[in-house]
Amino acid sequence: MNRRLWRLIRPYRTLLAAAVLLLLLLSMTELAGPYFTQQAIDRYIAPKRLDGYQWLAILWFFVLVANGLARYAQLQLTNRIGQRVMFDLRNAIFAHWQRMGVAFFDRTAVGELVSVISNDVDAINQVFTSGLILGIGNVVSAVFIIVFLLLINWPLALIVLGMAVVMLAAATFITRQLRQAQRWTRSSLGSINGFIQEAVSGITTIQLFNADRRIRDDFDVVNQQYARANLHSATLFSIFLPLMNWFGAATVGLLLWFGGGRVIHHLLTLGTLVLFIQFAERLITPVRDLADKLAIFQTAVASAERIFALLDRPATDADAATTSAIKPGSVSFDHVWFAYQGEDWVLKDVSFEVAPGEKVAIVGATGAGKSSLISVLIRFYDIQKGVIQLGGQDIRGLDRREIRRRIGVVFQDPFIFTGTVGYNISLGESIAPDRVERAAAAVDADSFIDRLRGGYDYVLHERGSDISTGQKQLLSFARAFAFEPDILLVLDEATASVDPETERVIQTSLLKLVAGRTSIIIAHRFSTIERADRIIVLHKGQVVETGTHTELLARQGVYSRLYELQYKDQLAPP
Amino acid sequence: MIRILLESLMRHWRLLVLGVAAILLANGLELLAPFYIGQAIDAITRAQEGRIPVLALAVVVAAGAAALGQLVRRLCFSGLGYRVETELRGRLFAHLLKLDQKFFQQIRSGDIMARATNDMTAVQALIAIGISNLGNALVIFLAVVTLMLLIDWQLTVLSVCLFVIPHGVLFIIGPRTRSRFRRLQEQFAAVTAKAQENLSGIRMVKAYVQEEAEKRAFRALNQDYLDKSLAFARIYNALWPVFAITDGVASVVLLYLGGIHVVQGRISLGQFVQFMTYLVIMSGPVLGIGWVVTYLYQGAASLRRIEEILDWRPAIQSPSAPRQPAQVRGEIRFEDVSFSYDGSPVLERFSLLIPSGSTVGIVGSVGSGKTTLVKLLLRLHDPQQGRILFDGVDVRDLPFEWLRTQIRCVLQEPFLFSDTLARNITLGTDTPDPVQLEWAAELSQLSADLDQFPDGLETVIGERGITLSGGQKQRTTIARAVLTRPLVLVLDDAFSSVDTSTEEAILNGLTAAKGNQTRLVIAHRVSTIKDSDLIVVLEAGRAVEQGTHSQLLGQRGVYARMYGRQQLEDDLRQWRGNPDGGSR
Repeated sequence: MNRRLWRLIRPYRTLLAAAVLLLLLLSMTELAGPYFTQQAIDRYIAPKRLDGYQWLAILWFFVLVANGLARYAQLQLTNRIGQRVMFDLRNAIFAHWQRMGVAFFDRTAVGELVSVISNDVDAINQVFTSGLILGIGNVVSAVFIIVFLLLINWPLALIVLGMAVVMLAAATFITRQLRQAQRWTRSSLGSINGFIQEAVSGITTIQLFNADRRIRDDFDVVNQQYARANLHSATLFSIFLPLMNWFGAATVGLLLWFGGGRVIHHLLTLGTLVLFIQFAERLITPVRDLADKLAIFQTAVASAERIFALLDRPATDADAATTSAIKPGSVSFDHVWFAYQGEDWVLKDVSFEVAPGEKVAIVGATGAGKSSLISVLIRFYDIQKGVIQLGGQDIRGLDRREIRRRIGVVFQDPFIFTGTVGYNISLGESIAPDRVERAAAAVDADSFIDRLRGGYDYVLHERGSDISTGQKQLLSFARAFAFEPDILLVLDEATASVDPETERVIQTSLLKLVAGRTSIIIAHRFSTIERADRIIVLHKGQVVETGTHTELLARQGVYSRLYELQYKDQLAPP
Repeated sequence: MIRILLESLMRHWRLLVLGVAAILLANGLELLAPFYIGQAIDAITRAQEGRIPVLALAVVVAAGAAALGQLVRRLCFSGLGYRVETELRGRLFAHLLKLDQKFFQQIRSGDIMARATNDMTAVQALIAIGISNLGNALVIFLAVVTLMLLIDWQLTVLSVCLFVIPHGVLFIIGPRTRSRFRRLQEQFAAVTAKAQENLSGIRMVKAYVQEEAEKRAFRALNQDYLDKSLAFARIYNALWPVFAITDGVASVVLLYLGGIHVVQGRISLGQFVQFMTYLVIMSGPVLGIGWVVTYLYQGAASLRRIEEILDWRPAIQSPSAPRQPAQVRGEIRFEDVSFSYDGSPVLERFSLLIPSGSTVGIVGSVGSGKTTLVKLLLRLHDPQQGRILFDGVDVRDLPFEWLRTQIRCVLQEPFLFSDTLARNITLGTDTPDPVQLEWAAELSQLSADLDQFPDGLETVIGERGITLSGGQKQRTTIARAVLTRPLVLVLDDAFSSVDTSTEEAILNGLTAAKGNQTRLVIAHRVSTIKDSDLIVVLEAGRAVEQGTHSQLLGQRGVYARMYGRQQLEDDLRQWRGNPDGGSR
C-alpha cells in the first residue's frame, strides 16, 4: 500500500523534497515567537532595561515575513503535487477501465465507479496535501520543539514530552476508530451516487408510474445511512480536538506547578517558564494536527484501497502489443461452450462455419444465446471450451482490438455520445467529413440529419435523448458503415425498433454493405433472414438446424414453426 | 440562497441555540485559564509558593470545562450540518423527480450527481466548519477584546487595529475566490460526466476500438480541470501566509510596546503574560477566519448550484385546480393537436377519438410522431395547440397522479431498476398483491423464464437490468404496465425485443384480460395491430389513413402498400418453390 502510494508521488519527488525542506525551515522560524518572548522578558522586561529592545522586535519582524513567504511557497508546492497526482490517477483509472473486460461492467454500477474517479481520487489528494506533507511538517516541528526544550531545561522538557506521548496515544486510538467510520462513509456515498444516477436515467418510468414517492423513500434510506455514517465520524472528531486542547492546558498546569517553585528558588528564570508555557500551547497544534492528518490519511487510505483494488483488477480486455495480422476469411465455431457464470451454459457445444463472403443469419427465440455468440466472437468474453477461429487462426491468439477493428457491430441498444452528429458517426477516428456524409447517406440517415439545426454539427444531448430511437438506430448504422469493417458486420437485432418502411430502406443499404463481406446477421425479421445464404437456428444455446431458407422449411423443425408464427396472420385473406 | 439555508437552519433551531450557547460557554471558560496563568505568574514573581498548586489546578479544571463546551459546540454544529445536508439532498432528489424532460436534456446526469454530493458536502462544511467557527471566532474576539481592555486599553486598541487589516485583505480576495471556485466545480462536473458517459457506453467504446480516443478526450478535460485548480490554488494559498504575517506583526508590536508598559510599571508581568496568552487564544480562531471564510464562499457557491435546480420550475405541472371527469370510462380524444420540438414540427393538427374499451393501433415511419402521442397523452410534454381530452376533460386539468394511474404505458426503451424483479413490476402501486404479481408475470410470459433466476421474482437484477436479455427486460415492463389492470393501456413498440412466439403468447393473454380496457398500441408488426378496432397510419405528424384492417386494405393507400409489400415478399418465397413452407 505505502509502496504504491509512493509510486504515485515518485515522479514529483523533487517537488516533494523542496516542500519538505521548506517545512523544516518553517518549523524553525515558528520557534521564534516563544524564543523572542523569553529573550524579551529575561533580558529587557524583567531587568527593566530597554536599550536595544527595538532590534529584537525588528529581527522578529523579518523572521515573520520570511516565514510567510516560505509558507506560501510550501503550500503552492504541496498543492501542485496533490493536483498532479490526482490528474495522473484519474487518467490511470480511466485508462484502466478501457482495458477491463465487459464482465466487470456487467456487475458494477456506473455510479459507484464514478465515485471512485471523483470522490476517492479527491480523498487521495489529502494523503499528499494534508496527510503526508503537513504530517511530516508536524512531526518535524514537534521534534524541534522537544529537542529545543530539552536543551533549555530538561526536567520541564520531560513533562512536556510525557504529555505529548499521552496526547499522541489518545490521538492514535481515536483515529483508528475514525478509519472504520470513514470507510463506512465512503461506501454509503457510493450508493448515493449509484442511486441518483439510476433515478435520473429512469426518470420517465418513475414519473409515468407515479413511483416518485417510493423512489424517494428508497432514497431516504440511502441518504439517512450516509448521514448516520457521517455523524458517527463527526462525533469522533468532535471528541478528539477538545480533548487534545485539554491535554495542552493540563500540560500548562503541570508546568506552573513544577516550574513555579523553581522560579521562586531561582532554579529557573521566569522567561523560561513563560517560554515553556507558550511551547506547551504550541505543541498541541502539531500533535493534534498530526493525529488529525492521520485521520485524513486514514480516510484516504480507505479510498486508496478502493482505487488500488480497481486498478488491481486484471485488465482482461487488453492484449500484448504484438499483433499478428488477421487474415481475412472464414469464421468458425468449433464445439464452443460458454457460460457467464459457473456451469450455466449459454452456448452448448456450438459448431458452425461461415465461409469468406458468406452471409449467415442466426435465428432463435429470446435467450437462445444469439447475443452471447456475438459477444464471444469479438472477445467481450472468452469461451470456456472449444475454439473460435477467424481466418483459420484461434481468436485467443489474436489482438482483441484488431478483431474488433475488423468486425463491425451494430448493437441492439444504440449508444449515443454527447457530441455532434458527425462525431457520433466517426467517433474518435479521423474519418473525412465526406466519408461520414456518404455513410449517413448510405443508410438514409442523411434526411433526418439535414433537418437538424447545424446538420452534422448539431450537438446531440446526453444519450441522444433529443432524437428518436429509430434515428439513433440510423446513426449507429451510419457509424458501422463509416468504419468500413473489412471482415464482417454483425447486426444484433438492430432492426427491431425501426418501422417496416425504414427497415426496408436499411435492408437495401445493408445489402450494399454486406456485398462481398462475410457477415453474421441476427434478426427477428424473416425478410432480413431470408436474404442470407445460410440460416443457423439456435435453440437454448445449441445449434439445432442449419441450412438455407427452403431447406429449413422443408425440414419442418423449429425454423418452420417460427416462420409460420410470424407469417400466418399476414397470409390470412384481407 | 440565504433563504434556503435559513429555512433549513431554523428547522433545527434547538440544535442551533444549543450550539450558540456552547460557543458562549466554551469561550467564557477558555478565557478563565489564561487568567489563572497570569495569577500564577504574579504569584511566582511575588514568591507566593503556596498559591501555585491551587492556581495550576484551576488552569486544568477551567480548560477541562472549556473542552467540554467545545465538544458540545462541535457536536451541535456537525449534527446540524449533516441534518441540513441530508434534508437538502432529500429535497433536491424529490424535486428532481418532479422535473420535466427538458431539464434532463439540459443538465447532464454527471452534473446532477456532482450537485447532489460534492456541493451538498460543501453546504455541510459551510455550517459545520464555516458558521460554527465563524461564530466561535466572533465570540472569542469580542470576549478577548473586553478582557484585554481591562488590562491595557492602548495595547488593546493597537491589537484590534492589527487584526482588522487581514479582514480587508480577505474581502478583496473573497469574491474572486468564489467565482473561481464555481468555475472549478463546473469543470469537475465535466470530468465526472465524461467518465460516466464512457462507462455507460463501454461496450460501444470497445466494439469500435475507441479506447484511445476516449482516453484522449478524458485527458483533455482532466488537464483543463488541473489548470483551473492550480490557478485557484495560487490565490487560495495566499490566504494563510498573509494572515500568518499580519498576525505575527501584531505580536511583535505588542511584545515591544507591552514590554515597555511593564518596564514603565503600567501593568504587571503576570498581566502581560495573560495579555499575550489571550492574544494566542484569539489568534487561533481569528487567524482561522481566512480558512473558515473560504468554506463560507465555497458553500455559498454550492448552494447557488443546488438552488439552480431547486428553482427550476417544471414547465409541466399538475393543475392547481384539478378537475375530475364526470364519468370515468377511458375515452381519449385528440383534438387538433399540434406539437413541435425545438421548432421542428412533430404533430400537425392531429385529431383522433379512441372510444372507451376500444383498441387503436398506430403505425408509421420513424419520426412520424407516434411516441409523441404517448408523451402528450401522459403529459411528458404539452401540445402547443389543440387539446387532449380524457373522458371529456382536458388532460392539463387532471391531476398527474390520477391520470398516470388510469393510463399505464410500456415504453419503447425498457428501463429497470437495480432491485428485485418483483419490485420492478410493482413499481406503480403502493399495495402490491402477490396474486396480481403472479398474474402479471404470467401474462407477460416472464414466468416462463423464472427458472433462470436464482430467487425467482425476488432476484435482484443489475444496474439498468443488464443481466436480463432485451426480451426479458421488455417483458418485465409489460408486466409492470398490466399489473394494476389500468383503464387505459399504452404499448409503445412493446414487442421489439420479444420473439414472435412469445409475442403471440403475450397478445393472447392480453386479449383474454381485455375486459373494458382501452388500448393504444404502437407497433411495427402488422400482426400486433391487425385486429385493432381502428388503425391509424401516421406520416410526418398527420394521420394519413384511418380504419379497420380490411377498410384500410380497401383504401389501397399507404397501409395497403405496406401490407402488399409483405405479401409480395411472401409470394416471392413461394415462387422460390417450397410447397410445405409458407402456408399451413
